Amino acid sequence: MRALLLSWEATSLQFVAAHVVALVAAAAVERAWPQALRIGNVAPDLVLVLVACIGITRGRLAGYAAGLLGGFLLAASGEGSFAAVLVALMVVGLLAGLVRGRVFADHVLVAPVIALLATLLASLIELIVSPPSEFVPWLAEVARLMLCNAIISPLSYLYARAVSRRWPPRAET
Amino acid sequence: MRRKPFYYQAEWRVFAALSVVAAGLMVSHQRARVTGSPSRPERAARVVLVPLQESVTVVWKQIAYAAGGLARGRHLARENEELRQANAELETKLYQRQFEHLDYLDLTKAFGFEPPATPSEIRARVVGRSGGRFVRQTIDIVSLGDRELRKGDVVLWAGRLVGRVYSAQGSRARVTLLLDPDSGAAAEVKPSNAKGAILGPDPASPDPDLLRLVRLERDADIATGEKVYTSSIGETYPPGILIGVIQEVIGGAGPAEPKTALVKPYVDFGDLNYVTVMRAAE
Repeated sequence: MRALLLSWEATSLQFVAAHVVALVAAAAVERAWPQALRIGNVAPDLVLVLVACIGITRGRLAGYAAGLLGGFLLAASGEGSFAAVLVALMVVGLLAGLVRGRVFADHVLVAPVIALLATLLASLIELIVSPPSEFVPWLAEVARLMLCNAIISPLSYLYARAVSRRWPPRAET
Repeated sequence: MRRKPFYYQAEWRVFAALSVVAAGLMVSHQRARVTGSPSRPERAARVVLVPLQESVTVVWKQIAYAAGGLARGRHLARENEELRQANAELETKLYQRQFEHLDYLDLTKAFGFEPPATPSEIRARVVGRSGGRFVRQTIDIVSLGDRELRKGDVVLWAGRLVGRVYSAQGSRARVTLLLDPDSGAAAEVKPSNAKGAILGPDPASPDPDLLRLVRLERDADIATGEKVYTSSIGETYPPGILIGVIQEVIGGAGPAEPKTALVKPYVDFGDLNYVTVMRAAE
C-alpha cells in the first residue's frame, strides 16, 4: 500500500482521473459501436488501443495499470475469456511502456504501428488461452480488427500524448 | 551517478500490487462463474458502463438520424406524410384489436371460463452488441419503464425470435442471440411439419448470418421458402414463434447422408433498436 501511495505521488491525480474516465468511456463506446461503422461486424478495440497509447506515451507502470483497468472493464462488459482479456491488455500496456523512448514515440504515425502490434499480440494471447473453433476465419477477423484499430489509433494516441504532456510525471517537472 | 528517486525504486512493488489485484479479479470471476452470475466487481463495472452505453447509443442514433435527414432532405416532407398516414392506420387497427379483446374477455367471463394466461410483454431498448464472430453473440438491453428483466425471458422483435436473456440485473439484461454458435432451439418447419433443431451459424461459413437446421427426420420433406418456427418439443422457447425461412437444403441424397438446411432469420440482428421481452404469465 505504501508503495502504491508513493507511486501515486509520482504522478498527478488529474492524470489518473483523465485516463480512468477515458478508459470507462472507451469501454462503453466500444460495446455501443454502431453497426454501420463496423467492418465486417468487427468494432474497433478502443480500450486496447488506448492502453497501448498510454503505455507508449507514459511508460510501463502507467501502461500496466491502464491494462489492468481497461482489461477488467472490457472483460466485465464483453464476451471474451475474462483471464485472456485481462492478461492480454496488461501485457500490451507493459510492453508498450517498455518500448517507450526506444521508438519515435512522439510521432503520431507510431500510433497505427503500435495499434497493429498490440492487436496482434492480444489476439495471440487470446488464441493461446481460448483457441477459436476455426482458425482461418479467425485470422480474417483479426486482420479486420487490426485495420479498425489502426484507423482509430491516431485519435487515442493524440489524447494520451496530450494528457501525458499536460500532467507530466513529477520526476520530469 | 545520480540516484533514482525513491518512488522509482518502489516501482516493482506497485507492479506486484497490481498483479495481485488482477489475480484477485480473476479468482472472483471464477468463483462467481460457478453460481452463474457475475462477480461483485463485474456487477459494479456494468452498473457504470450500461447507462453510459445507453447514452452513447442515443447519441449515435441522433447522429445517424441527422445524417440521414441531411441526405434525404428533399424527400423528408413526403416521407413524413406517408408515415403519418401509416401511423393513423395502425392506431385504428390497435383500437379495433383492443375492443375485440375486451369483447373476448366479457364473453369468457359470461360463460364462466378462466381467462387465458397471456404472457406479459416488456419493451426494451438495445444499448450494446458484442463484436466479432468468435465471441458470444449477445446484445445488452434496458427495459423501458425500469421493469425488471429475468434470466430466461424470451426476446422478440416484431414477433420474431431474437434470443433469450442469460443474465439480468434489475432493468438491464444480456441476451444470447440466435446467431450465437452455441445457441439452439427445437424447431418445426411449416407447412411440411418436419421437426428438427435450429443452431447458430457455422463459424467457418462464409455467411455468418445463416442459421443451421439440423437433426431433421430422415424422411423430412422440406423445401426452400418454407418457414421455421419454434417447436413445442423444446422447453427453451414457447412454440410457434417465427424464426426464419429456409434458404438452402443440403444433403439427404442417400439414406446415410443426413439432411440439413440453412435458415435465413427474419430478424436483422445488426439493426436492432427496440425489442420485446416476453415472460410467461405466472
